Amino acid sequence: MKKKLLAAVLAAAMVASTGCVVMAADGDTDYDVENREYKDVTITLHTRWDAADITGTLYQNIVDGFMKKYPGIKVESINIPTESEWLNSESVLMADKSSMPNIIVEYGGSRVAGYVQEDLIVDMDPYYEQYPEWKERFNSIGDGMTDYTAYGVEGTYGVPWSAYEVMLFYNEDILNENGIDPASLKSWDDLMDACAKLKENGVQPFEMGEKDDYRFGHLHSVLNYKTYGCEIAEKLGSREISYDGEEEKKIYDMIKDAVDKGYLGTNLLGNDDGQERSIFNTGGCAFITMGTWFCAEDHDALELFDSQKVHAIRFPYVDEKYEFHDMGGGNEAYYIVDTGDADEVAASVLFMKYMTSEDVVNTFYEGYPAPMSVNVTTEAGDYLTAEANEIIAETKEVRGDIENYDSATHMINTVRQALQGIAMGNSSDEVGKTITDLIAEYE
Amino acid sequence: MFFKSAKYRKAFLKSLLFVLPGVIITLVFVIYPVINTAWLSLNSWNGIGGSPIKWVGLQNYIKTLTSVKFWNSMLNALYFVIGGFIILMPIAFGLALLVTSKLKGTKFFKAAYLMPVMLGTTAVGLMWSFMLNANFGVLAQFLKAIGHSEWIINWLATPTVNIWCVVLVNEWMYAGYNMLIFAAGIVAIPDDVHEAALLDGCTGIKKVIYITAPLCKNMFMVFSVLCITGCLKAFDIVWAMTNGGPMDSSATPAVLLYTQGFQYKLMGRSGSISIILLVLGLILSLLLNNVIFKERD
Amino acid sequence: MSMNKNRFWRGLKKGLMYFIAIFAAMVTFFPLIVTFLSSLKTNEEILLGMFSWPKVWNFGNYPEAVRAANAFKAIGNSLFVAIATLAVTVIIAMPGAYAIARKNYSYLKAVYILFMAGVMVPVHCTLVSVTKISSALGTKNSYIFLILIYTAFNLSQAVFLFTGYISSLDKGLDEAAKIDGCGDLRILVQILLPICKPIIATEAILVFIYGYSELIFSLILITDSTKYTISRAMLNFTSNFTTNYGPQFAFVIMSMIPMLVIYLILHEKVEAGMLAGAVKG
Repeated sequence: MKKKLLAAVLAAAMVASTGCVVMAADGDTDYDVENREYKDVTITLHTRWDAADITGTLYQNIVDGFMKKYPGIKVESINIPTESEWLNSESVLMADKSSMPNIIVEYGGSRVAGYVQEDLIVDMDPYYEQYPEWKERFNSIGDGMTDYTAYGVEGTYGVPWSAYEVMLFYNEDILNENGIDPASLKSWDDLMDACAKLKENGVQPFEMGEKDDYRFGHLHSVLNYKTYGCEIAEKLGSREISYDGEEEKKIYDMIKDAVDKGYLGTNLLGNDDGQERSIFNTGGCAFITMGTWFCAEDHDALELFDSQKVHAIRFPYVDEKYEFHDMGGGNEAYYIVDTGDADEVAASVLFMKYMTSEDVVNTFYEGYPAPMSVNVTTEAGDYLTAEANEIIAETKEVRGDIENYDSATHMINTVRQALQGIAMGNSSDEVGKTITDLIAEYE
Repeated sequence: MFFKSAKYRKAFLKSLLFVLPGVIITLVFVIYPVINTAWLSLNSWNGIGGSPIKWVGLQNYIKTLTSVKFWNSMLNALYFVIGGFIILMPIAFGLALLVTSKLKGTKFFKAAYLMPVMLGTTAVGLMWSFMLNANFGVLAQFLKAIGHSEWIINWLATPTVNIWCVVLVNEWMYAGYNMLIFAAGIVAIPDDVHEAALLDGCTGIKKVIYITAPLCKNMFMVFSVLCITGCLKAFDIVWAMTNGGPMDSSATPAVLLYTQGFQYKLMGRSGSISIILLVLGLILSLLLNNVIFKERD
Repeated sequence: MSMNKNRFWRGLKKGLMYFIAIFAAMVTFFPLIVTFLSSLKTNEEILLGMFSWPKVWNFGNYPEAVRAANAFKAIGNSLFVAIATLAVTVIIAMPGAYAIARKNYSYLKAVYILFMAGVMVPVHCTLVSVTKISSALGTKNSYIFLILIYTAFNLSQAVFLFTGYISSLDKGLDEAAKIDGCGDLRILVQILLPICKPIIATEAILVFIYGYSELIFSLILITDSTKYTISRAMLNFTSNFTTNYGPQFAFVIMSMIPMLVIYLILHEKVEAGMLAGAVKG
């Protein structure tokens, strides 16, 4: 009796874990989502919207506006602002067909590619054919977020939303006091000279929060593009160039050199990126290098921003040839998950169409003026975003996180962790070896 | 069993009824997921619903057991265990003696010692990682004040130091709680035992060693098992204070299985760590239960 | 002379014990005081050094914390979930522990090992399966399901603790009751339950804290923001985009208060239970 029960439980467990879900085959999908009848359709959004942040209300307004316009559709959103919990939740929900949300926010790259390869993400092309004017709403910045040909899949996956570029922001007062002309900061060497000068005068140049390991991760990516051009991303991704080769060691050494001289921070592994911003925003260091989302963040009651003393310049080049190659592109994009329910998919497409429509985007931008992958037709925005947008307009080529051009999903964590080693005193040889060892281990 | 009497059968069924609700809940929500994990640990899967699950046999176990990261995480778990037995146990037992003694204000002390555990791990982790910040934390401030700023290091970012910081915070948090376990044992000692001890002139430290501690044997066993299992599974406090970093230097096996599974998407590998932990914990608990504590009976 | 000496030593011993007790209490309180002080400060003040008197007593961080995290609602939700989990866990675990500790059927050994295994299971390896069960049953946003899960993950430890305690008790007690014609249920409720109060209170605290502050399952299973529990609501503060520390500390202090109140209420019971244990054991 007991044995039988156990056997039954075992068998049930096996079936549940191996059993495959048969998808409803849809031969003739109706792509005209505007003229479709919706009755009691519920869609779920999985996002990183932050209710405590200024953007929380703006996003909620979009959801409310949509539900008012289309009363047959209910939008539920799962908003998880912190990165690791958001990632955890997405991983768990995407592990089984029955729990997948209808729309997920993501940053492109190999994690999304995994979903695309499993045929879980809706191809937007037929919808853009249905509504050609919708496709016109997007500028080209976010193209990298929707193109997965490098992973062997044709089509357009995902709807790009925000955009970014990693730039150098400086504190005008500090540079003036120390006799540094921001216009002279063209190359990495210029920047290092400026750092030396600041350090001599007892001023801290950077105060990076490498406890969040994306900080060196971004620095590594942007230095790669500024040294070898954006094509390095694909070369590294295909392993034509190795993570422990001379090219990459040169990059690690550039970071290491700056770390060893104390330019990048006094408490690299103790501060997180929030503390980094706080220190810069209150005049505790001269520079901060960050994505342009920095421009639109809540800078209320901060003197530096009220008196417009913070400015943006292009990240310095290492090789002049690649002055206009940068880290950036689409930041967030929304991906519609093919849950197998035609109504839900149609409603999700309709939601994204609404979210990226002119008025909605303009209203959002007025409240949160960060660079967008969708065209903005309003003049609003603060001085810093305007500066950033001018720089972006001149950029010739961009790539995102360099690890995302790799086919292995673990690379973004592997490389960022290994780079953290630089702050712990590891040599460039050790950084390279850590990465290649882990690649071998995970193969 | 069917040859036995009706009365026996009734009593048997009654006992079954007593344990059944717990057994069912545990089977459905704990054991079924573990069986699933065990099965995944023999496969390679990227964690995406609908993607193929490929049989790889024992490969995940071999890779896990030969990986430096895994053994480093086991070492961290060992630090937790060492801290548990060498620091936490004496402190908790000592506090239990204090709050069950005839001192005035034991109520207040008991409530005070129990407070940290009431805060919840997230709050405790947040609080202490601020306190240990090398720039503006309290410890750094203190060292500066006594003129030893050269002793200030990045406590939470230096390998080995960071895991010990977490272990100590863990003891800070749980000392009061374990005090309760021991106190429950101490007050259960019958009064006549105390009186007999007093008559024999057995007081103070002597009484603690020869009377109180041996009579709390069960509670020491409970503590040992909870400590070992808790240490092997330690996750929350590590995650709240260091996220297991930098470079996984403070990761415990539970942190490792989490990151490998949900960040690296190596579900099979993550599963193998889970199963190793589970089996190891079970063996250690049973050993403690059967060998060490039963022998003395 | 020797009497005096004796008294002196006893006095010294007592003094030493007070010293240790007070020192330990200070070690416990110090971080809380620092946190409280920090909760009254602005960001810049915190970054200058945590251990200092706030220049201005700025209670503004508290309303900020309440607003952003919908703190009162979250605290209420957490309390409900925690109390329900606690009740269900004790109701299910006590009879189980009684049977395992007092009956001699061989299958009970297997049941005991099952619960032992349950204590050892790392939570994260069950996430995917539990989510699968939840979507199969359609229990998204259901507190009942959440409470069941919480119970499942506390049950093993509760059974383990209770079994340990009951088997340490004198068997004579329930045998006498049996002779008086008491059934198992009456022995359990009328005789063992009062004696077991200290251990129940001990476990209750842990279950309560777990239910009150659990994050991982509530993150996956509860998506309706009006049903958020406290840790879930707290995520808004530790988010990467938020650089405001004052409200974070304020929230830590606020989330503590209900726990303290509950403890102070429960405290009397623990005390009474311990006395009962001492008298009857």
